[in-house]
Amino acid sequence: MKLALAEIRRSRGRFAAIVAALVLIVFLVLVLNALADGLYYGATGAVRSGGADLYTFSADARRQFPRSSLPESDAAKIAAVPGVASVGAVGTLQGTGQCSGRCPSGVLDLAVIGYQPGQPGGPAHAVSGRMPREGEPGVAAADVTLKRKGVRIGDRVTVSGTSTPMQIVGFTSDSQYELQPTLWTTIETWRTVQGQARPELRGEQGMVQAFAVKVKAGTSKTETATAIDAALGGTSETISKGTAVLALPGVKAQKSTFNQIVYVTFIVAGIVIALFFALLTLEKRTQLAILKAIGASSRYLATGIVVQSVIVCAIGLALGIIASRLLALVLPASVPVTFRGASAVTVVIATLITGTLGAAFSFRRVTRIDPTSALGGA
Amino acid sequence: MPALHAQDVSKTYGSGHTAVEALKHATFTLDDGEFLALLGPSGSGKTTLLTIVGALLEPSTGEVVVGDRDVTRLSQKERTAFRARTIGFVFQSFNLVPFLTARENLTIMSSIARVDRATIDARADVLLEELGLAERRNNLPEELSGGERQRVAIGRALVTDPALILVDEPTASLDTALGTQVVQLLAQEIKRRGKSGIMVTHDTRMVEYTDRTLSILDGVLTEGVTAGSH
Repeated sequence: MKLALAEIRRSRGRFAAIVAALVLIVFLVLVLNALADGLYYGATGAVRSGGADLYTFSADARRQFPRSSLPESDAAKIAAVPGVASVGAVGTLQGTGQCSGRCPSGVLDLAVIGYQPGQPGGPAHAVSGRMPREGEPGVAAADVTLKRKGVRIGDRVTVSGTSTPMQIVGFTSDSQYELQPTLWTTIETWRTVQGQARPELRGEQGMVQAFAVKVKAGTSKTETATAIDAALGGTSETISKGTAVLALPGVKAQKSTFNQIVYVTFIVAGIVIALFFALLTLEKRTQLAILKAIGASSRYLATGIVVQSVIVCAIGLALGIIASRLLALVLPASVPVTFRGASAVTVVIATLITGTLGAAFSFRRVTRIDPTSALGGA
Repeated sequence: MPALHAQDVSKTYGSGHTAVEALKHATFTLDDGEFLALLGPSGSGKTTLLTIVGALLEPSTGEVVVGDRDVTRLSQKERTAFRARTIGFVFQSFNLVPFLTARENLTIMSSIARVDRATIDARADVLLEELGLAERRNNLPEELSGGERQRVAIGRALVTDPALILVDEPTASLDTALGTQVVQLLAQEIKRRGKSGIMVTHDTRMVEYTDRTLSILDGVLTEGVTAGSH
């Protein structure tokens, strides 16, 4: 331990090189994670913030909101299923819109989501202002990303091609849909807006896209989902919120792509550490043979390598985390990044494990060093 | 009780046609407090004998008793611990830990040999003083002269208070004057502390600082300085 620490202190340049490599790797992993999280949160906020346990889609919808269509009357059938605590209708509409009022001019990307205030399917609370009231026409709560774009409470937002402005009454957080800012409005207003924006769907009276279902505490969600589909006579597919989140277009693929990049980066980190200590051990062969001759056990020397690896990783992690936080400060708000403490903790643990494994590659070499080679020499 | 007794120690490297008998039935006794020179040219088997009595290498046959322990019967783990506490090694050349100061090269033995730190630290300070290194204690090996490095190595061998000091060609990397000084100092420290020691050398001039000389040639050990041993 003492030996390992002294080596780092006196061979700073050499260890600085490996620390620098680790800082870059940690930085890369953290930024990738932040991007992955940012994309994930931005794409899934609307579903995650709905306070639902289950989502019921029409059977042929492939779990996609825009493809799904169920009669509003199904709500009563779902509510009658044992285990269901509450149910709310949900409808989505992606498009563009314009703001009138003090807000900036220009076209806004939007997702209008209709829900039933007080029921699952939409955010329960606004972070500022208020949510629409049940049946209240022509109002909406907006995701805070719209606030950052200059939209304020009292402004009116109109979806392109419609004549139904929605007055902003509050803001919700972490409730984006497909990376688009959402407008949370009543299911009735949504139906009106959709009817104007997508005239081809006007014929479908009394239809909603999906239902958000809250299950009673202590009831099995899978069993309730099966019971709902049975009650609707096989016209529906009811899935958990988690499954619905992953069913959003691109989310699953994005998640697995980013995860794979992160795994590969960790493998690279492990190899870099393994090579560093392997080279260091190779270079110190004579010195290690002498230490073994004077009574240092292989275990003592191997412990030293692990201690060094942990220190190198710890410094690399600290600097890498600082660097990624600095980057977060300078990134424009439009880049969807979310730096989560939980990701940082995972990266810390994974780096320490990879570092130790990498360092462990040198154990065999250390064990094999022959102390008799210390004598005779020349 | 003698400090060391080697009985019929042989060592053969390899097997079959390629077998090399490096050491042939070596038998000798090192008395308590005795400083012995092991004289022989390179390839004579003197290093092999030193590695065997130093519990670094197992002999093919024979036994070596250091103090009251038969080192040839120790497991590898026991041998490591035995070396750490009972034997002090002085190696031929650049053998100090390069990133430790002179004093740290001594005090590190507390963690290697698992000996109480305060005891080792106190001994290290006394040794550095005696070896004339008090002023150089905080210097790294690269900042020390060859003679100073060798003196630090002597200090490291003595700091665990071992019963037996084994010295491998202490003059190999030093000029004659400096080499003589180092060997004198070594003899003096061994005597002063009542240790026993064996010094392997090919330099007959160093013999005068030891109590007794054994010569070795082609793996055969003989008493005294024999012809052809240098």
